[in-house]
Amino acid sequence: MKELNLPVHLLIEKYKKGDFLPSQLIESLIKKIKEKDKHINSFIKVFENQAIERAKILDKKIKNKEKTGSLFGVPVAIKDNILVKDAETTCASKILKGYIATYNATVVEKLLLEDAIIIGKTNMDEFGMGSSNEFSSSGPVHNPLKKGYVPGGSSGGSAAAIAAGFATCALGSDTGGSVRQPAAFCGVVGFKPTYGRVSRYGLVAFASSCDQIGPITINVMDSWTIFRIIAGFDEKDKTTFDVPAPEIPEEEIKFRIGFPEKLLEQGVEEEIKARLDEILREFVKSKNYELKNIEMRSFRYAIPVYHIITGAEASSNLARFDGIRYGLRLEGKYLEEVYKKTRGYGFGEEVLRRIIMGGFALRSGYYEEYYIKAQKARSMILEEFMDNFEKVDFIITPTSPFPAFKIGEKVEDPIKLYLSDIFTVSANLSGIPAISIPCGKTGEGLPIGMQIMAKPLDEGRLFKLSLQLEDFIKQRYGN
Amino acid sequence: MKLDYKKEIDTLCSLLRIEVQDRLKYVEHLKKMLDWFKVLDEIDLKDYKPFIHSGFHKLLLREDKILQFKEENKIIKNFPEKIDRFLKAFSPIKESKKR
Repeated sequence: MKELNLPVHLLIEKYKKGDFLPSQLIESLIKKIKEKDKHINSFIKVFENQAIERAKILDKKIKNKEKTGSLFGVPVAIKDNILVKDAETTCASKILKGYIATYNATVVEKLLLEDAIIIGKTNMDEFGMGSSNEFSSSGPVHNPLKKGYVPGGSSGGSAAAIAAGFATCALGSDTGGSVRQPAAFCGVVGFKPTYGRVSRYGLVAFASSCDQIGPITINVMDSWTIFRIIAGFDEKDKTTFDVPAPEIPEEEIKFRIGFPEKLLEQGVEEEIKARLDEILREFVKSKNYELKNIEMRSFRYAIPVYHIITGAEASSNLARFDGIRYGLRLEGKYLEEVYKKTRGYGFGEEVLRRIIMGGFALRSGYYEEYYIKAQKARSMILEEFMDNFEKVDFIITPTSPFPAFKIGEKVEDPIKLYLSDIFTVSANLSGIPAISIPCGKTGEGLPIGMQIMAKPLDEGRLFKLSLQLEDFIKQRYGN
Repeated sequence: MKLDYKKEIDTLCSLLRIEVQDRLKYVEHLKKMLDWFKVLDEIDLKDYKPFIHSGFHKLLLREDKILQFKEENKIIKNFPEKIDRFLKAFSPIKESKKR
């Protein structure tokens, strides 16, 4: 079936014209996943029967000419840290093996209300901790665009599933770049909304002050469509905003774009730097926009700040996984031994590293020196963003300083791996929205991602610029 | 004061209720991370307050509501060990005898 990789609006158009039925599409998709995902490993669980059953219900809606939702028959993959009722949610961790969710996350409810079809749960770095999808109890994910390369992480399964054409859209979670970086590595679009735009109810928490759910899609318009559906106030998540949904402005706006040139002088691969520079200069010229060189001194401190804060939050959030109420339980002579054995065996090495680091930052005697200092530096990062947003409307950087790398290449040196998030973590620390869009490939054929960051709650204008840039890049470099 | 990393890892493992196999690996990682964090000493943070909330929008508070959850059986199914409909944990009295 050729129609497997269509964007949302074209897919729905085909259904409406009667070209095929949702059940036919889902059957073809499942066949494709069965054939090809054994080499990619993007799914932890495929909902074969449930997805076909739901598609057949949707078939009837067409036959009966009933009203249909805006995601009618659209196959969506869900990262395995987002709850789907009656399905196993493992967060790619041994400690949650066998845990069956008793309710739907708010985002899942919203997708189902619009007639989407949940096709399965995608692989990820355990509890969202990682940038390569090598830290998963379900095994590493392979980049569908280049064999033996990582897809990025932590939402690597979601990005790989979209790049491989296993679903039309996917949801990921982004705590430090976990939607944007894998999207960049796999040549698709990944978006992290403003903190508080999308409900986190039903998302297994990693670092609650940075976590945000976002879509991974084949193009910018699909990302907008999904974002508009999942955004909004939720009584079950009191950090969500009760503000109207954003709109893409129709009027012509002369945008001012900030580009931290100095920042790119160190550590960014030459090919990536040159590509971004070329696109931006030509794009602003063609649109008569303004391109300003800005300073972002705080980026240098962002990753250490991020690791102190998210480690501290994770050590607290993950305390609930103790083998008593759900998931894995290892035998022990007394309660404390059960906790220690279960947690020591159930958590993977990267999770243990992070919670140990976070526990240290919160320890009496070190709290001021690490945790409080990091929170002060976080205020500085936010201030620098806000100062810059007085001068420019958007800040553009590469999504990652390097493209996808070989599986195993950086796994032995976690700090090297952490550096892949240098451009993405600041948006989480300051809560601003940011998107990654594809901007061509390296000589080796590896996708390059461009990150666009905007003021808080300015998603409408962010998408306007992203659509223009996507169009410009496609015209220049093709798909 | 010089940090005794091995001792620190032991204390952290005890506080975090984890049993790790290769403690040296975590000692090395903690050392590297703390070295890396020294970069934060470059910044003058005396004028900054610790970040509490982004403050983009006022948080709306609401009264707590009690909702009826009709699917307790599904929660019970997730218990690693149970006796009838009860979660099986540990008896502190029996435990103290074992110790």
